[in-house]
Amino acid sequence: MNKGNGIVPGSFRDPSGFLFTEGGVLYRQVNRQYRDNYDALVESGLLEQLTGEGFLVRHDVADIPAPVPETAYLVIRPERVPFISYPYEWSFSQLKDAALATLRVQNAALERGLVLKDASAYNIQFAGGRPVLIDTLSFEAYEEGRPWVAYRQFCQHFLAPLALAALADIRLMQLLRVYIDGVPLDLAAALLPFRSRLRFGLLTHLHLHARSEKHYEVKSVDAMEIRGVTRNALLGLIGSLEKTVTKLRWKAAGTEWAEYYEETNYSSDAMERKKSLVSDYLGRVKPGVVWDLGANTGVFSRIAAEGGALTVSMDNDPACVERNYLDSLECGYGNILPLLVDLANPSPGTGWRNREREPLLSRGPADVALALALVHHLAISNNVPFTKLAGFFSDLCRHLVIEFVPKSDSQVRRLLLSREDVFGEYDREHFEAAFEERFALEAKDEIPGTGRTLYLMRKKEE
Amino acid sequence: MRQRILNGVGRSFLLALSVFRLTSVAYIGAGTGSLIIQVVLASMLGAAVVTRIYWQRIKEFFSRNKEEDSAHGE
Repeated sequence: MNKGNGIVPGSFRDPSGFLFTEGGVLYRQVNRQYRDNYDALVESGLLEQLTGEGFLVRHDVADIPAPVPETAYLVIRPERVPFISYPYEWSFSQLKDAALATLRVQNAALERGLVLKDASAYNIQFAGGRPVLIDTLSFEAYEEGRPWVAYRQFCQHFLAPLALAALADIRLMQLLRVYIDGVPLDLAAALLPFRSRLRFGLLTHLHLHARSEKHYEVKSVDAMEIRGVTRNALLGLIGSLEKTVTKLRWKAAGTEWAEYYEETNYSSDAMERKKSLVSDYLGRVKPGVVWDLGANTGVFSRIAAEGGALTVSMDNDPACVERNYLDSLECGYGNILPLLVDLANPSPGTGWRNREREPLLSRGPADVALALALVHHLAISNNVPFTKLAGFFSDLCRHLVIEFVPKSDSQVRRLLLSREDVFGEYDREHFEAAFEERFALEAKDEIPGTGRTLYLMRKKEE
Repeated sequence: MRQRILNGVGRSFLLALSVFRLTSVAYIGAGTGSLIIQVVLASMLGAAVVTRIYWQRIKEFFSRNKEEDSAHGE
């Protein structure tokens, strides 16, 4: 998130306007060329309808000078989304809900004589647990007969990765991290199994779509002249996309950690004690933003969320993130944002000049990071020395709640079963010494019957 | 053969449907092949929408008549 002053680096593609920050407040300049469309959005009642239904981020007109006055129509101040996340960090259902929200917005727009001029998954963010369109400038007046210019983008950003996840492999959603404008349709078509062709929606919107793209790749046709999509035809197309997306399903089961709590050897007493300690530590700090690292299905994220913190709940298992998202929705935890993050390889800065999409660590620091039952995975499975771990945590949080898991623990023994034990310094003394360099100890408690220790630490001023 | 069909379908849609030029600015590339398949699909799916609407009206017409008949009968 850009906290200083200036134009937001990822906001440059659309000539309708751009985002900028001033005094830590986020604004959007609306350019004169977008004036008629902005006025239509307001006057048609679409703005009021979509913000009222929670599908579009709210904004006020701001009374500040425009940063580029020669092109400016006005400046608006959008409500800030609490945490920016990207489609390659979402679970299957998050991307699916974002896709359906986009189509819902498109339908609502059509009813009022407007249309979405883009369908980028990056225009959707999660706020209060729900997908919200954050780009107020995504609408334009609908012209009878004109095809939907964002159809391909919708298929690349949403339909292709969802189909790949549902019918091929959930890990293929990570292609979004490589392809910033969505998964190329020919690649999706090549990776999808044959049975995907037996579904009308996938046969047409992906396979035939990819083939048509290939066929017309080198033909000189003036695409801007193409007409012939009546309003009813467009509604039929959107309806078909909606049905195709709705039918795509992925069941979160069978991966490594989704059954963790069922299988772990934690006794219920020890678990209760750990929960009360975490709750007590969080109560002392009263954080606004918590990052739960290695959150599994979000048991401890809920403790943070119940204390009122916006809780970004990260795990590298797609099944855990999926269950966390669905359970949080069902139980009304709107302030939990589950995300798919591999801490050994967190989201990098991507896109133009590596600055269009922010790296994970630039989106912090969190007031508190929870690192529960995590250290042994990073230290042993990923060979990260304690000193590097302490440095990593000090980059991303102001307070740290961290659990040390000793070598005698069955979970650590399990990790060491398949490899040579080259971790001579993996013990509590070395752990404490490494972390003391970066953090001041505020509390330390044994978790009875587990051999594990919980710490509350505060980052030392540099 | 399939190529020829695709060519033919695309060309006939282009000829029949090139009515007027764009007035608004599309800042993302829509892709020619993508637009053409969209026109083909949307026409099919739109026809289904229209058929559904008329079918609904026909059903409503007959069920209304039936209701009126039974009301008269009482």
